[in-house]
Amino acid sequence: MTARQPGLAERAHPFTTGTIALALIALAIILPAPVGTLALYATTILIAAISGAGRGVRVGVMTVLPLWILLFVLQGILGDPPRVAAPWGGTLSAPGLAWTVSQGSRLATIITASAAFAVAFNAHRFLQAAIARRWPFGAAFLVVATLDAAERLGQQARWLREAQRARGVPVTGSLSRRARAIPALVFPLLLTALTEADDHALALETRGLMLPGTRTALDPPQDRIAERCIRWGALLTVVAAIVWRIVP
Amino acid sequence: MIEGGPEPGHHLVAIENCHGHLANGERVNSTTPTSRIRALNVSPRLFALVPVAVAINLVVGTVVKELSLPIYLDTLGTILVAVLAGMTGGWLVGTISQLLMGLLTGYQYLPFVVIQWLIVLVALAAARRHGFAGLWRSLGWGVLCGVAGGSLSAVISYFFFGGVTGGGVTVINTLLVSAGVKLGAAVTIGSVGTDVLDKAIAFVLVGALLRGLPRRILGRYPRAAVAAGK
Amino acid sequence: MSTFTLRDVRVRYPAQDGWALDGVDLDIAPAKVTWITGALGSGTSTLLLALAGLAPRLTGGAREGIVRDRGNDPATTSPLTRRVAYLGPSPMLQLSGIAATVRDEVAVGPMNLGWAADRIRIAVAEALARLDVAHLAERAPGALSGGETQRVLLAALLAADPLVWLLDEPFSALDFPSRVAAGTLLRTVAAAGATVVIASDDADTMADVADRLIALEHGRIALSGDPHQLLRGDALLAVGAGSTDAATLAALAGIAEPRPDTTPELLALINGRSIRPALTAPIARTSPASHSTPLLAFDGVHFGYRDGAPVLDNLTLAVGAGDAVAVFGANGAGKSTLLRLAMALEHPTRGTVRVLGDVTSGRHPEDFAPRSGFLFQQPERQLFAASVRAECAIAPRRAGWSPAQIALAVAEVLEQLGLVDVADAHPYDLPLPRRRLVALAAILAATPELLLLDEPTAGLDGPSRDAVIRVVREWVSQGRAVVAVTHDPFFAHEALDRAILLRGGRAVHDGPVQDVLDESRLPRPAALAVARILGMPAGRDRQQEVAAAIRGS
Repeated sequence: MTARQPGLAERAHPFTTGTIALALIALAIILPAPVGTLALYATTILIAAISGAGRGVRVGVMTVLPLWILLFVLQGILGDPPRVAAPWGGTLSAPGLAWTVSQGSRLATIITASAAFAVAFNAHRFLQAAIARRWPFGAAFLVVATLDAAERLGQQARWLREAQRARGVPVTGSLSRRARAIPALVFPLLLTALTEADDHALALETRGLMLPGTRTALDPPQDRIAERCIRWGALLTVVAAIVWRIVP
Repeated sequence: MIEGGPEPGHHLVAIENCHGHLANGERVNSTTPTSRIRALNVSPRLFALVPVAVAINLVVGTVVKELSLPIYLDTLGTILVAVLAGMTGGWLVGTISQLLMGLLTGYQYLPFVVIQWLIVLVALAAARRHGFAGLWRSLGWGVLCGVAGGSLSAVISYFFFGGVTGGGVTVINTLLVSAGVKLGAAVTIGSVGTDVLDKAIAFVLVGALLRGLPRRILGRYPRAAVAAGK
Repeated sequence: MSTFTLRDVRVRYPAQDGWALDGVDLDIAPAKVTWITGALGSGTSTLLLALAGLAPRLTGGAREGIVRDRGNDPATTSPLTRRVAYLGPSPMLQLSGIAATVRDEVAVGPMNLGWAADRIRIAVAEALARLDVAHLAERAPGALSGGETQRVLLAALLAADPLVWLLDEPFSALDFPSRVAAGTLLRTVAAAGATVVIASDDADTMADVADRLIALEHGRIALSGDPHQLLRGDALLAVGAGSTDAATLAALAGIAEPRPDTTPELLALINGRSIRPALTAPIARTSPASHSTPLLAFDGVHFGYRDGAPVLDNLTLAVGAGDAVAVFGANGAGKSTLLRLAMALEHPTRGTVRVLGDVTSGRHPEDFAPRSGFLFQQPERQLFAASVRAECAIAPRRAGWSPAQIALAVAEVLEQLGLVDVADAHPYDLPLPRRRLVALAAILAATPELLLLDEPTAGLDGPSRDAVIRVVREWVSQGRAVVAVTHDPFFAHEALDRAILLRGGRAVHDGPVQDVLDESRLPRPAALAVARILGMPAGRDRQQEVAAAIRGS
């Protein structure tokens, strides 16, 4: 097996990728449409591609494509007058088209930035960074433990589907048949979650996760000066954009 | 909380529901550092429960999607924890769920976090008024929650997204608009309609679960008994 | 001076009637291994929780009396800062949920204590090595098997360098060599001065590990003393606690106390007595699948998961009416895959699988249920009805049986598995082993002709395991078929007749189960060892028959 080289985004300090993603999302809301937001979408794609989170762009496009189509139908075709001629005949709504482009590029930017961040996110590095920075441990714990629980429960849901089918519960067929499968698939998930939370609470206590005081960061991710500069830069850009939009 | 015992040195440590108060612990052992005792007041059970409840929101959403049913059921964890553990738990589950769904599907849906908070409030109100005591009661509260949540999400969807939020709702909206309904009205009808169906089923499911809870869970979460009208 | 001092301790849980611990007076000494045993529900787990200071602080409920851990009440401080290691009974639930790798999982305790990073690295490396899990260091904790998880958790406890060990069923998911290794480790830490308290139903492992045995009955201490002395007597059996395999057989055979509690001692005694069994003629055994259409047939089956090596390689086998088949093999030999193919959860890439006469290709599991029944691992997590009775009625109702038929079938299966007294209880209110029996009952209620079991006895206590054995024998005697993947030699010997040994996706052995047990490195069941000496044939060499033979001589 050949190990994939981790990209820039994966090697960066988790706070850096987080700050950049948040800044892009903020700018997508702040910047004027359509020119500003379109340029921002291009920038977002560029950043994601360069930093090795290109998979985020693909995920972003896949997510945003149906949104664009629906926006175009709902606003562009069915939108308010005045109407303009469409290249293939018929008319389109002018304000609807403008809304489609501006809102579409906003959504695309936000989705792409989120997806790229998700691609590069590593729970272990985040936790270590949070501990090293003395963030409130409870908050960091909830984020990391939730991701872990989602994976565990996801597996259990897949297993449960098999187990109930093996007990004769059909999960395909008519609407009522599928609807009647819900309790068999959902109730065990809820009941085990509730009973097992008790036992897991014991583990949290005995393994020291509820202890106050400082914890040791085992291998905190490196935080280079350049990255701090990038984070401050991102923050200042957002502030500057706000000032520029507010000041007439 | 019962304090002391019949004889000197004969004591009793009692715990109220899921929060680890240590009323007698301090008196029993005065050498214990107070910081430790304060730390133990955090409820580990809530810390264990919140991650799985968020996971329930995400996972049940996926399960239902796989069944190709026209509902989401992605707030079951929020409703359940609000009923069992109260405001703080529900608020945590709702907020973290929305943050995590953002990570998976994009942060444009973050404004909908207020819907999660609204669901927590409705679920709490329902729980206090034995709202899960029977099928029809849960259905009623679910419809109420759906109307409230749907209206609020219509407002968000209209002003933030021009009626396009992806998924089944948008398809319904589009159909309504193409049938000549005004966009604002279409978004409202679409959102409220889907939300009423979704929340009604969610409340009915939670009600059925609460009425049939095992005793050991009922013992841990006394609010569940009230909610189920026991 | 003793580590723990308990005076008239009572503990009760919320919404439960009665006290789980009901007046316990106890002193536990350091540098010793103390073994706590008792029947299911006798309060062994609660005693450990009270010692750890977790009951009632985290479990809810109330406590009366005095508990002292080295002079202090344990209910006021975190176990970790007191250097107390606690391990709960379900390994998977003890994982921290924040570790990406096993190495991080083992480091969780020291990390939370704020040790220096270098000290943590050394402690983690040493703990991984001592529990023989260093090769798992980079794996994700959630993806480990039950036994691996248990070893990793023991390593995680060891890394924080505890003075007190409180362990609830720490051997339940371990295989035989790991059980021996873990027992040796605990003896070593006790010899170095640690206080070790273990609640366990596994008398065969604990007999060699424990210095002192405490048996609980209804939340009170019934017996306390030297383990071997108690294992040889009647009192332990009288309180419903399990003894060793050899002592149980000796007791069944009517040998008076003090009776042998290890297989070599029992064999020596029997050799000395020169017993001749009453029955020596080999009994006629129906050869598998010879005269009827097989209930399960694999014909040249190839199978591989999408992105992996082939798992099954040209497997051909047939299971007929009255067959009871054990599937043995190392991890990754294809045992679970065989069961999944038999339930149409997977389909062969080449060859055919026939279940009850029908080819599985293009069919779904629900097409074969409930005539074919599958008991998954950890089946208690699939339950969802509000009572044991209602859970058992689900499958027959789906099969369209009449209410009278359903009631009859459910009553019968509850009787068979000893669940009549809890028929109206909520399944999740039962202790784990009985909850597993409920899952089995729910499958058996629809009387499947083909029963597929994946590790059916893992984590069960003695009486629950006996119930599974009884029901498998019952199933086989009625001309139905059972196929079980198992690591449990006692269960295989007592419940099953034929063994298939898988290696590299092929069946390298198919014959009487005793032959495989004789050749394996697993401990031989005492009954089988005695039967071999007495020259008793396969099929007549189970506990009851061997005991009868000894008794009758």
